[in-house]
Amino acid sequence: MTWPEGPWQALRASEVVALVSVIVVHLEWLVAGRKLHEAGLGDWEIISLRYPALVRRGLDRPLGVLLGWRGMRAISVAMIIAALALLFGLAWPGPAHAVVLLGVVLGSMVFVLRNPYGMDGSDQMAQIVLISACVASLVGSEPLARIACWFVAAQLTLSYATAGIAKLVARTWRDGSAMPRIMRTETYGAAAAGEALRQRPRLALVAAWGVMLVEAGFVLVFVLPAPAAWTLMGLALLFHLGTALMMGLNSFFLAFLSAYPCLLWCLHDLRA
Amino acid sequence: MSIGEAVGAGVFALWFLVSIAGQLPIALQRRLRRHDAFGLVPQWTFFAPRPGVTDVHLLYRDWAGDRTVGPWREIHLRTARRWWHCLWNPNKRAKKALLDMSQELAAAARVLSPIAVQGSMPYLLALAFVSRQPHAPGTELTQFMLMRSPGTLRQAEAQPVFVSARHRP
Repeated sequence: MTWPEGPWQALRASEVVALVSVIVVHLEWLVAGRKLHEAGLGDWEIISLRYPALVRRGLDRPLGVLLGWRGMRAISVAMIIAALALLFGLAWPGPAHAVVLLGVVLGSMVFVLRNPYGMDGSDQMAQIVLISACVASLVGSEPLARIACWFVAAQLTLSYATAGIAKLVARTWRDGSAMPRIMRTETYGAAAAGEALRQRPRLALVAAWGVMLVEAGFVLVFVLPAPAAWTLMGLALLFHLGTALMMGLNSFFLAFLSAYPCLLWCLHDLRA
Repeated sequence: MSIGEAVGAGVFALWFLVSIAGQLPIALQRRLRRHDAFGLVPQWTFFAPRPGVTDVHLLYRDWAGDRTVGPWREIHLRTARRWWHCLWNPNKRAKKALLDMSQELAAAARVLSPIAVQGSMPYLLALAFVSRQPHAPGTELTQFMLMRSPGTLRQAEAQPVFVSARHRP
């Protein structure tokens, strides 16, 4: 038996994981967002300077209400409720599901517009998965669902290839010094892990080359025999698990995991 | 092929081409990102080619009159890593926001005049942030500074990267 059996099942599985990621992100936002807003780092009056067209069109006042702390809190709560409805209530694929999913996608876009600082690649990957599922289900066509799966798989492969190549051209990654130095920071690291890697330069070198080779070589999943392809995907997921454990990048694990069902279906499609 | 399918396929194809352009170190990439208010052009170069190997520190000090100045005080946003951060890590946004803001402010300071920098979004956000911190009694003006240090174990080696003008908090 192969899983996922078809593009709709793959898109649905990807969507489910991405929705869990959305729920975690917005629960975190509800806990930490107020501090950010009240401290001034999320002051919409200042952030709106980045969008002079909105201010010129007289939209600054209504947007100020919508995108203030209370408005954003309401959007976050609405997105969590919508995500739960998509996970447990609304039939997939279907028009009601597609419309509510469109609401989640638009809410996420408002969040990015509202928060020019603090967003990261995990938000982008989750958004790619959700928009792909949304477009396919709005049109309700299986051929487009297939294309959506291929699009998600292509973005996942592009992400690893770009990250791998960008590391391979960097001396600090090639000589193994990058990881101990990243891990030594409070922002992304853990003091104990940073110190452990610093004291074991050979381990740091092996870890750096392991990350680079898995990322840059990930594209080979499309041509490798199944056991080797599964190993490569397992290593990539292990890497995400490692960054969640060591660097606190919890949303990256879920967001990138969400793309895998689509990739798995594409591999079946390719070998069929 | 229906119109919906054709439009959908076209959107995915165009989006993927733009995404590829977004990864290349070319001027087009910077233009794309400048106009990408919704973050649809991904940036997949995680921690490369120049990985973030420094912590950012935002400090401020208060002035009472022209000559009386208090000590620099750091605003602590960073938190020590805990095991549950792999599942639940709400503070990471604030840390990333401070990092993004400081990078943009440092970049603006390199290309803009000191007066123009003061009108930039990262400068104004940093000033708003600092203004809402507790201030010493009698404070007339406040000033902020961004510093970078090579990590938790070497905070003593922190170097200033930007010092603001003095403003009313």
